[in-house]
Amino acid sequence: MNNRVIKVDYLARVEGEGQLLVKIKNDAVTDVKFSIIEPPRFFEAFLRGRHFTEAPDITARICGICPVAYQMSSCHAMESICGVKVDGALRELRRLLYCGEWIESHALHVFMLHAPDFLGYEDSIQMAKDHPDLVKNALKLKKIGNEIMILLGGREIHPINPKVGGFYKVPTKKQLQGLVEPLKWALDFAIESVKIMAGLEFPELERDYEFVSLRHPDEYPLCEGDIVSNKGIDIELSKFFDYFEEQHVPHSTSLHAVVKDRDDYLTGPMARYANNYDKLTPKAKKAAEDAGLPKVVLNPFKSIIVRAVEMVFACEEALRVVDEYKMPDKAYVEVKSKAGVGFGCSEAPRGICFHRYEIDDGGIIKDARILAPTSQNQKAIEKDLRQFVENHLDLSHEKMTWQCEQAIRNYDPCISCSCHFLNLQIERE
Amino acid sequence: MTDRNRILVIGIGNDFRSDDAVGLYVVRKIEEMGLEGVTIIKGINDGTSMIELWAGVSNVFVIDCVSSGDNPGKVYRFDAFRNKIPEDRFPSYSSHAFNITDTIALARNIDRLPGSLIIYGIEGENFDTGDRLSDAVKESAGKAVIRLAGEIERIICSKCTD
Repeated sequence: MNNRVIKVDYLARVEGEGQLLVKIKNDAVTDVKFSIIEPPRFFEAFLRGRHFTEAPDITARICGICPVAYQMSSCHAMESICGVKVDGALRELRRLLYCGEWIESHALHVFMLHAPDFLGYEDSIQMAKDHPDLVKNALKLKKIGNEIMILLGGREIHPINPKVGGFYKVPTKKQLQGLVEPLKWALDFAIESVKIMAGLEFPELERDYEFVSLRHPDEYPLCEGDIVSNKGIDIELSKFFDYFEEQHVPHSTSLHAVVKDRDDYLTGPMARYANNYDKLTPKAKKAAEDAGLPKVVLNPFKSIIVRAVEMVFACEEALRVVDEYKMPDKAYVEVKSKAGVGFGCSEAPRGICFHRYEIDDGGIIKDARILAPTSQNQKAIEKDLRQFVENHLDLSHEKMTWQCEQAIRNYDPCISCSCHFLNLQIERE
Repeated sequence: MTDRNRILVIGIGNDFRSDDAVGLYVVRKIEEMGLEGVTIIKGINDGTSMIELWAGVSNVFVIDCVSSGDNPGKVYRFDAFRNKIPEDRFPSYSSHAFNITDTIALARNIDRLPGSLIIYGIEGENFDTGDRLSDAVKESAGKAVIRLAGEIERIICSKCTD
C-alpha cells in the first residue's frame, strides 16, 4: 500500500518562489497543493490614480522576463478606451519587439531551465559540461532576442521605448537590417532545436485540456485577437469576465482562474499552438511536421517541443517584419484621453496576459485588473500533478519528486508575475 | 570587440537598494576618469548576458556588493580565472537567475571565460529601499576605485609598451 508525502520547499528553475505538496494515502492521491508564497505585488493598486500613459512603464515592472507582454496589453487597453488604432509599421514594430521577448524567454526556458530535466542534470551549469555547444548556441539565441529588445525597447529588460500610441523613437531600416544575419542563424538553430527537443524522452501524461488563447484572423497571435478555446469559447476581450472568473484559494497568494461553470484551463504555448496551428509561419509548421508533432499536443511535457516551434515562428516572423519594414514618418499616434473602460490582451511567452482598465476624462486610472498567465495556469498545474502521481505510483520517491518538479516547469511558471512560487511536498501517509 | 575595448568593467547592483548599488557607484567613478580603451557596463539584468559581453575581451573586472556577515566596507578581490569563487561570499541565491558564481561556473564549463577575470566584492551593511550608500561602504568604495583604477592603468601601460 502506497502512503507517502512528497514535498519540495523551494522549486528550482522557475521564476519566483513556490512550493508543492502531494499527499498519497492507500494508493490514492488525497491532496495536491501548488502553493504560491511570493508576497502580493499590489500593482493594480499602484496604477489607481496614475495617468493612463504611465501604465506601460509601471506594468512592465511586474516581470523581468515578459515586460513586453504587460506593455502591449496595457497599451492596447488604453488605445481601445481612447479610440485609437495603432497600425502599419508601428504595429509591425510591436510584433517584432514581442518576437524578441519570445526568443529571449523561450531560449532561457527551453535550454537553461527545462532541458536539464530531460537530460538528467541538476541544472544547466552541470549540463554545460557534457553539452557545451548546445549551451553556447542557446546563449547566442537568447542574445539575439535581447538585441531586438535593446534596439526597439531601449534596453533588454523593462523596455523604455514603447508608449501608448506606439514608440518614443523608431529604428531606421538600416538599423533593423543589422538583425538579419543574426536572425537567419537563429532561425536555423531554432529549427535544429525542434529536432533536438523532439528526440527527448517524455514522461507519460495526457489530459483533455481546455486550451485558451488569442486567435487573430490573419496571424499567429502576439498582441491582438479574440479569446478562443477548443471547447467553444470565441469572444471579444470585453466579454472576458462573462466567461472566466478568479477564485481565491488559501494556499496561494495568486488567484486561481477558471472557466465559469466548467473548470481549469491551460494557456501558453500548447494552447496557442492547438488553437492557431493553421496560422504558423511556413518554416515553423514544417519544423513541427518534420518532428512528427501532431496539430494538438496533449502531453504537457512536450510543451518543450512546442516552445521550440514557437522559437522558429518568432525568428521567421521577425525576419519578415525586418524585410518589409518602411520607417514611419511618426513614431506614435497621438492619443487623447477619454473616459471609459477598455481591455487589452496579448500572448506572453507563458500565456495570455489580460488587462482591464477604467480611466476618467482626465486620463486618470480609476481601476485596473491584471491576470497574469501563471495565475491562470495554477489549477491546470495541480490537475496535471494529481493525474501524473496517480498514474505513476510505482515511481521511487526521488524520481517522483523530480518528475513532479519537471511537470511544474512544463508551464515555465513566472510565479512573481502571478502574484497578484514553489516549495514541493509529496506526502505519502 | 575592438582593441580600444580591451578592458571591460562591469558594475552590478540595484540603485534603489542602498549598499547593493556599490558596484554601480564604483564603475561610475571609473567612467568619470575617461580611461581610453575601457568599456563600462552599469548593471546587467541576467548573468548569462555577461558571458556574451566579455567574449573576446582580454581583461574583465566585475564589481558587486557582498553580504556575508563580515564587517561593512570590507573589500574582497578574487581572481576568478585562476580560482573558484568562494561561495560563502557570493552564494547562489536564486532558483532561476544566474548570479556571478553561476555565470562564472557556466562560462568555465563552456570554455568562455575571458583571459583575465577579477572580481571586486564590497561588503554591504544596509539593503533596504534607498539610494544612499552607508558611510563605511562609501569610504571603502572610494578606496576600491583607486585600487581598481591602478590595476586598469597598469594594464593600459603594459599594452602601450608592448
